[in-house]
Amino acid sequence: MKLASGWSTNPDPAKASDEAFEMILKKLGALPHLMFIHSSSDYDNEALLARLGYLAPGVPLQGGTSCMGVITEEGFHTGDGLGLGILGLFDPDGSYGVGIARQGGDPAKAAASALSQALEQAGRPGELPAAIVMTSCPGHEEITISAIEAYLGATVPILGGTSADNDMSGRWQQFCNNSVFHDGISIAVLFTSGDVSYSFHSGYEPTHHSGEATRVSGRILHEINGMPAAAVYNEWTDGLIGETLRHGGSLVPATTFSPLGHPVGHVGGISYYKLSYPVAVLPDKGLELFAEIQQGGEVVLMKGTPDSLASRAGRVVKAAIDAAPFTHDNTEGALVLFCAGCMLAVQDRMDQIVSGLKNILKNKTFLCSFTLGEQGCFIGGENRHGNLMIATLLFGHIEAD
Amino acid sequence: MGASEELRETLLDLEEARKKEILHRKMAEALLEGLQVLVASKDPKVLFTRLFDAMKKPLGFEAAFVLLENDDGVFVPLTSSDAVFMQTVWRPAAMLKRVIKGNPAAVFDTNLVGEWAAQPEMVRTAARSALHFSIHTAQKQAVMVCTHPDRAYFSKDHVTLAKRFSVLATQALQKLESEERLADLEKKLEDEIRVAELNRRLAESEQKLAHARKMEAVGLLAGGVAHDLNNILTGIASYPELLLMDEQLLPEHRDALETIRDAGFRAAAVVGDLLTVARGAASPREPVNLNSIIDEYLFSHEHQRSLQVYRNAEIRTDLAEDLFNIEGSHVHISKALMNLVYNAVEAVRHTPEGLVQVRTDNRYVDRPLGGYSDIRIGEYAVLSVSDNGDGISSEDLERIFEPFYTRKTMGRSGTGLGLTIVWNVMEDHKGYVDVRTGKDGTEFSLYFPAIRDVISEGEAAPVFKDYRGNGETVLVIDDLEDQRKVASAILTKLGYRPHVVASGEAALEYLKDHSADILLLDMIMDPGMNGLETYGKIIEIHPGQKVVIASGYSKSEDVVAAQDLGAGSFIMKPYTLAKLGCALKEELQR
Ligand SMILES: Nc1ncnc2c1ncn2[C@@H]1O[C@H](COP(=O)(O)OP(=O)(O)OP(=O)(O)O)[C@@H](O)[C@H]1O
Ligand SMILES: [Mg+2]
Repeated sequence: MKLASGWSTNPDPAKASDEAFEMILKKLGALPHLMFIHSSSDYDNEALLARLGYLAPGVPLQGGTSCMGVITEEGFHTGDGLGLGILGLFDPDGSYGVGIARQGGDPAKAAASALSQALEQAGRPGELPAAIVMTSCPGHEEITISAIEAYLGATVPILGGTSADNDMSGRWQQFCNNSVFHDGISIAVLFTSGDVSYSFHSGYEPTHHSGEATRVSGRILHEINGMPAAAVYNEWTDGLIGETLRHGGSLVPATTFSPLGHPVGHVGGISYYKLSYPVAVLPDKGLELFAEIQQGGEVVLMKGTPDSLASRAGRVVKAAIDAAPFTHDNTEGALVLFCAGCMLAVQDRMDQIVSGLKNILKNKTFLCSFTLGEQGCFIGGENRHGNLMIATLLFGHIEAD
Repeated sequence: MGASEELRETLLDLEEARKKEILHRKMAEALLEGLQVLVASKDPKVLFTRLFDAMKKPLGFEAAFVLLENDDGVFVPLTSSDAVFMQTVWRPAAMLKRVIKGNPAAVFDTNLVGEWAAQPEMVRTAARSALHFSIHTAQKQAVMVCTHPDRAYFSKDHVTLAKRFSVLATQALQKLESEERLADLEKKLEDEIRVAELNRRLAESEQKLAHARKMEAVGLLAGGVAHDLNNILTGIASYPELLLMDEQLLPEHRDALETIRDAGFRAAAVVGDLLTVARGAASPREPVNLNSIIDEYLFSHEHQRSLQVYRNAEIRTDLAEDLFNIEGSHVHISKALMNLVYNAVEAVRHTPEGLVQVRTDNRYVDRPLGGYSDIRIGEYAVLSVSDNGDGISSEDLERIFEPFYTRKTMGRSGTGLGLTIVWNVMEDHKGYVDVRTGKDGTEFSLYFPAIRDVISEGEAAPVFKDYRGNGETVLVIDDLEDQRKVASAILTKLGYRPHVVASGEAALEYLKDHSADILLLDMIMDPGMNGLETYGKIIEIHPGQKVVIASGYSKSEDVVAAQDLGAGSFIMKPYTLAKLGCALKEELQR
């Protein structure tokens, strides 16, 4: 198996496609067997995918919109909010397939549909893939994950990112072959000839502020310890959202360094957390989150710093490398899904993020997309949706093969 | 980033590493256990049953079965932990084909997979999820299938474990198989060697049979010649003896007659050789000891004479003290010994320190000995004659026992009968000859079956008065005139009153109105009745008629039959005065 990345910031979608694809073709010397496409929402992505479909006939395409641009091993690619990145996989002994469905009123059914299409295209219906990559519209990622797990078990690592636009105005899109959806779930199934590794971490640590999520409805956290959640949050953060609390409204990006955490598991007595990004204060002083928190579950105030966020990406990829069943030499590359909120918060440190990734993935191919929510697989094997996270899928081959 | 946050992550990573390590160790242990099973058992069914047990824990399956490819590419269960799978038939489609190629497949829903969809509902219900991996050997393609009734039971870890196991098991099996193939090959080779050995032995025994037949044919021929010669010699040897009984004989005549008589008996001895060669030659059987035959022979004139011819040969003996007795003919064995010693002495003619060793020992053959002849299990008294001559070439070795086969100048010393006699003597004694020869010399070993009989003390040579007749009447029945004349003369000399007839018919005619105290009956008479028929008729008119049978040929079945009818002793022609006298006396006193 071999990986190659291509990118372009050409405002013309067809030209951008040509440029990016040419890089891949040059590096691989052959048509890839799967391409992950991540591009800005400002692109005419239908034109972009149509062009790519023309350039790489029959090659499964999967992806979605990324905030601002993308990072590859060649740098951060964005120009006036336009950037296209492609990660191509050449793996003649593997099988790959993609599928997409509109969520409509039944995100679970949509997920199952997209998944079965993907397995069908891979020619492996009924078989357990090595990994699943998903790109979803914001809103029902948890349902999607549990639908996938219901379909083929909870043991396949699921990685993905919620498609993002540049300004949270809702222009995010999901890609699959030549389909560009706004409210869909796009899934790729990966039966690699080699192996994969993954990691899912945040750049945050818990504070001593914690309470019980006493009233929850979906992604709305109404009350913590029986009191209005926004009020409790404001108190924990020493009045971080005092203004908004009074008038209601968006909390982004004010809360980027202070998300809420929810312990997902314990390893050796240490909890690890799934993060929920408080994005708005509701009229009842509840908090709208970007990820669910379990009613009755523990809510912890998490704390991040620009430093920790900027160095995060490299650290997360390193964790995946350390856990990989293949050596660093046999590592082919990675797909990285990086929280757009974090990225926006540390935009001025983009160089640091890029060099962090490049240092860890020395001479390897990678594509990093900025997302509005990340799906990843925790250390304990739990597939989760979280915010302000970094999810990595690492590809490599096994020596003995 | 905060130091505490980093510490948290490090701890988490460490924990993850620890978990992975535990998992790997468990996997390694499971693999090891599985492999041990593979290597330990050879019966595939037992092997897989054990394998199921060993792999059940790490893989956590509910049931497992092994599919084996048959000749038309269809897979059928070899063995299964659940009977429901035993009747299934599998035609590899995409999934199984990949599995066979070495890529384990975990199926989370069997209903969705072609190969499973083709199975009966019952089978799919029992196995909603399945894990497949191949174990192949150079010749056989096997697929192990682990199943679970729950959908999506098997995980990526199972696949990883299965993949490792598949690789290792395949290697283990191939190693096992190559060892087996090696063993098979060795076995096949051994079989081939065995077959070759059998063929060789068959060819050899055919050769031996052909040899024996040839000997037999020649023997019969020689026997026939000898028979006729013998009758002629009777005259040459017996008349001088008769004449020598005359006390008034002139000394010069006496010398001449003695020379004629000795030559006659020597000629008779040669004929005797021929008769020995002939099958079934009369060979009196008595318990004898090879050591005494050797002693006697080495002191004999013949031997002393041969030593004078070949002066450089030293003869040594090494005789076993407690040597088993054998049943045999003193004369014949002596003759065989003489021939072996002659040959040995001749063989060392040009050897600087010629040495001929005559040895005896007891041997117990506890498994058939392959040698010149195949020697059967048993106790033997063995006489061997060895020399340090030049040995016998392998072409010669094949033929030395054939009559008239000689490397010596025909007519002078060699007639080529020496070893033929040895061979026949041994055949007669139900013994075996073995020859070992090489550049350093030759050894002939004669294997005589041992007996446990003790030898009676040798009787003193009979004296004339002991066997002379008392005027008893003897009817001589012989078709040959010479024979009748010699017999008549000897009988008269012995003090009997002979009457001669020329045939069985004439004898019957005579006995109608005469009687005889005893008959001297020839066995082979031509034309007309032979000895047996004649005797049969005579006892009809004279029951209990005494008779001594004389024949130049052999103690044939006819002789035995006649003796069964009541006939007395049998004597070989030519007979000496003493021999005939003793035989008649013995029979008359019976
Ligand atoms: N001890 C021996 N060493 C070497 N060659 C031998 C020995 N014994 C026999 N042979 C070979 O076997 C041949 C046959 O032997 P055999 O005794 O049958 O006949 P012969 O000795 O040639 O003649 P004969 O014994 O009749 O006078 C001999 O001519 C000789 O070549
Ligand atoms: Mg000889």
